[in-house]
Amino acid sequence: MAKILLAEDEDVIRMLVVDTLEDEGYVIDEATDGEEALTKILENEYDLILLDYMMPVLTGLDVIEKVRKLPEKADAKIMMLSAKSQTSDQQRVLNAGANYFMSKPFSPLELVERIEEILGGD
Amino acid sequence: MGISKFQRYFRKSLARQFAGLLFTFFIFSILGASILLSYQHKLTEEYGQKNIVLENKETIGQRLDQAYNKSFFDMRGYFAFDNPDLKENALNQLNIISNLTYELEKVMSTDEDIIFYNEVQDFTSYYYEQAIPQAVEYYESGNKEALIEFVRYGTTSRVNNFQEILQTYRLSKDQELEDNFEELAKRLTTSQLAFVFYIGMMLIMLLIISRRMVIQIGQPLQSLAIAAMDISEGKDFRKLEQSTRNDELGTLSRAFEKMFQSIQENEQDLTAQNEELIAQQDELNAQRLELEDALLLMGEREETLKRRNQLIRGLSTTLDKQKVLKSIVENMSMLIKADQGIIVLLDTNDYAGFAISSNGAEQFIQHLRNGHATRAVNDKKAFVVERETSISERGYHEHSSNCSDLYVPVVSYDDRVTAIMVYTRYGSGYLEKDIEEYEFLAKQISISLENIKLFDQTEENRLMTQDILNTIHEGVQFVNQEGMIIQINNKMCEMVNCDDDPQSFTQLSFNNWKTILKDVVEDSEGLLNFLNKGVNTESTMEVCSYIYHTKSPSKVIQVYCEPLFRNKQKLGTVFVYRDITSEFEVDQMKSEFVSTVSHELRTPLASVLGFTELLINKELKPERQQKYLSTIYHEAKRLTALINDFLDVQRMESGKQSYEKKYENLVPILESVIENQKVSTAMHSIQMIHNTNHTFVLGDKDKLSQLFGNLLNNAIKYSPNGGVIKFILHELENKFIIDLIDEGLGIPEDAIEKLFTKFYRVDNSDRRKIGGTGLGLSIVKEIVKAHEGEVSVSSTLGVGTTFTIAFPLVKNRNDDERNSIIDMDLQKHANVIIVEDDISLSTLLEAELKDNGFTVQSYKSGMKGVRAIKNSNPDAIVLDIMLEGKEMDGWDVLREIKQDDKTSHIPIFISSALEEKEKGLALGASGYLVKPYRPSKLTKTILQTILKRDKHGQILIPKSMKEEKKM
Repeated sequence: MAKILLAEDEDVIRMLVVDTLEDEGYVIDEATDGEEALTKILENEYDLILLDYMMPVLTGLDVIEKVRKLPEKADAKIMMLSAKSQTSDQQRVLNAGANYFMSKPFSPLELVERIEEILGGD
Repeated sequence: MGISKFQRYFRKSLARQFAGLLFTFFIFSILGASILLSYQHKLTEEYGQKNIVLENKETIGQRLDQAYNKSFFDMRGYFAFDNPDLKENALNQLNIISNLTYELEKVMSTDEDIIFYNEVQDFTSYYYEQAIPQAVEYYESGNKEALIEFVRYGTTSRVNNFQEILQTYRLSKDQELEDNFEELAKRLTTSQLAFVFYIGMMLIMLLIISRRMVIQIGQPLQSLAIAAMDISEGKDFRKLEQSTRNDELGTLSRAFEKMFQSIQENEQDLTAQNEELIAQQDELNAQRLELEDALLLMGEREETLKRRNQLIRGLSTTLDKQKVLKSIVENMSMLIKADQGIIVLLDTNDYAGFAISSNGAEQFIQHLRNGHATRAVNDKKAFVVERETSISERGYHEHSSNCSDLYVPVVSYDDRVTAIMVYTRYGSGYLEKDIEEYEFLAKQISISLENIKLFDQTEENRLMTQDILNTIHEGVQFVNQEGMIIQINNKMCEMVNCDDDPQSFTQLSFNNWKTILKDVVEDSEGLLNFLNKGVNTESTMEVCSYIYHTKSPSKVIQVYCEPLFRNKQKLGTVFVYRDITSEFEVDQMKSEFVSTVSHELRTPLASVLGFTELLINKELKPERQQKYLSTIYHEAKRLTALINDFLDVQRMESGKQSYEKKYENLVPILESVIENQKVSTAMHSIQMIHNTNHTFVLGDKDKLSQLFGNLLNNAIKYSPNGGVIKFILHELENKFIIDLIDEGLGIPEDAIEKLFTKFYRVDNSDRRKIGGTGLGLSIVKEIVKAHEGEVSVSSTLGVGTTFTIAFPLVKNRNDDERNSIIDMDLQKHANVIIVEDDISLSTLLEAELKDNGFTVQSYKSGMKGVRAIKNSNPDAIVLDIMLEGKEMDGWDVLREIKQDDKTSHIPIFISSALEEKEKGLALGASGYLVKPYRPSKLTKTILQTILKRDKHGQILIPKSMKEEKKM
């Protein structure tokens, strides 16, 4: 089954996403800040990486920028979940190298659909 | 040639002469000594030879003697003893004698020797050829008688004679030997004497030569010295004799002479020059005198001209009215040769005087207005007034004298007298033609005064415009078509960080202005383009603006331009620079805040919506349903809290929050805050400690509760492992301080400054679990600010944090006076009795106490006072020691009150000029005030005592401490 990393500092949101995706049978790895996320990304191969924008230590944006600098992670699929929903924020994230963007608050069911779409397309 | 060369050789050097002399002396000494020695040697030699000859002769004589004697003896022996041997012996002697005779012949030299030789020859031949053969014949013939006869008469006498001759010869030779020796001794002596004499002569010679030498060296040196002395004393120089010499002295003398000659020549030169100079000087002097005469004449004319010039220059160089007036009056006075002068402007009464005191001038102006001014104004002509000198003018002169005042009106172009000049000369009067000239000068003065007036007006207008410009809070700059700055205001100057007057920027070229801007503006390219466009624009419609940032201080400036036209002709462009930094910052903060708020709100919303969606759309187990519902509930609550806090902050920051401020005792507020929060934690022990009685704050009770609630909530939240949390109340430097100390996680140093920023939360995994809106401390900050307080934080990571709130200290007096119900009651009812004989003082004290809400009665005598106290039982007594009436003084009153059980509790404050505090307190007074004191001090003292008494045991022990005690 597909392996997904979720980086999110808010416990409640993390619980929401983890519960939803685990119900669908995905294997979820959790990180609570940007640094932890980066470490896990470097150590593991994920089918998809879900990043929160506002995280302590390193923001989601920082993580993307660092990951995209590594050639071996050039193909990694990254989705940004952000409460910063303005078009400009979204554009910045995509420019930095995120593949997908979902704004908070998001629908858990829609999230599942998007993920199925992304991973099923493979 | 040889000799002269030799002489020259010696003449050249004294040393050579001296050495030669010594050498000669030495040679002569050696020569003398050797002659003496050789002569002596010769003498000795001669003496030796002669001696040998003489000794030889003597020896021969002696041996002859011996030989004859032997022969005689032998012959006699033969005759006597008839021994033929003897006869033989005697005959043998002849050989010896012959030998000797021969020898004698060889050595004989003198006549005596020759005689002696002849004698010997004779005798020998006689003796041996005659006597002996005869005698022997006689003897042998036995003719004794004949023999005897023969011997007796013939032979014996002859033998004896001969013996005598021999003897004599020997003696003579002895004598000769002796003579010879004596001769030698004599000659030796003589030669030695001669040598001694010779040496003596040599010494004398030496002496003579030495003396000559001394004379030769010493004298010239002396004469040289004398000559040098003479020269130094300035006497004439005599030629030195020795200068012809060839030796060192000669050289010295010649050098000396040369030196002197050159000195003399120089001196002569100098003398000659000097004489020439003197001659020239004389000539110059003569010329100078001529010139001086001419100059004096010139000078007088020039002085007049100069004054005129100065007058004109003074008129034209400055537009400062006072300076011009001063210059006019001074130069005119000089020109006129006046002793005093004054110029007065009739319009403004401005004046300037020459040799006149300001007092005198003002008096004179007064006088002028009443008198001669009218004539001058009407006639518009100069005139002279003769008068007697006043006493002050006369000075030290005793007699009165006359002086002439010259009045010169200054007539303007519109034939109006604008000013009057008055000049005073003591003694002499004025010439008509001079007066005409002065009138002419007055015309020029008039023009200049007119100019000044015009300038003043223009300047006034200009300053007004500049002042108006300077009041504008925006930078205003007017440039001409080339961009050169025509006018600029203070604010503009400030905007480019100038230290100077804005005037220094006028006439500044556009390029220079751009250079100034480049230094202060961030990314100046755009601004400069804009300014270029502004300078060159021709259209009024083209209102343009541009926003730029400055470097330091960092500011945001908006500039707009407006071309300026007059009669459709462009004059230039006005640029207006607006400092929009604060608007810009507010704008930025606003958008940032909105972004943050939206993020903060979206997070709980996301979970509420998300979980709700799951609940709606999924079949979930009851536990999960329960978990989700409770999460939704908490997140919704968090959302509410967030919105509330957010609205609070908004309200407070925008100043829309209203505070209902009263004097509140903070202690009960804190107690209730502690009570509320205690419920949420079992791990923490919360305490309150006061170290002050001034616990009142002018504030809003609800907001104060919120403030300390937030702080206490944080303290609890951020000390997840429990521990003690303390409120410490104390006073410091007129501040009421509340410290809140926890034993929690502490705050990293770099986070402290951001702590009060909205939505700021310390990033740390330990803290992530701890919820919060990030607005609590922002609210705290706002509330504290609204209460004129200060908040600060100190913290050590892992040890704990202390929040310190400082409020302005509120003295209880004010509490009582206005708000606190208990204290208001207390004070309203506080009844004070004053016992004081000084009415003015008691009135003063009464007024002060009444102003502070006390009820007051005052009494002048002790008796009346005591009676009133016993009747009304007041809350406090103010007591003087010296009282009216002899029967009872202050001490008596004090004792009386303290003795009575009903009144002994009433505090008594002694108010006295006597310094007997000890005695007063010993007798039971509560306070002792030494006159004079400020009345407010009395109020304060009374209040403190009353409050202390009333509150004792009630407020000072906080509940938390009571609880602690119980535990």
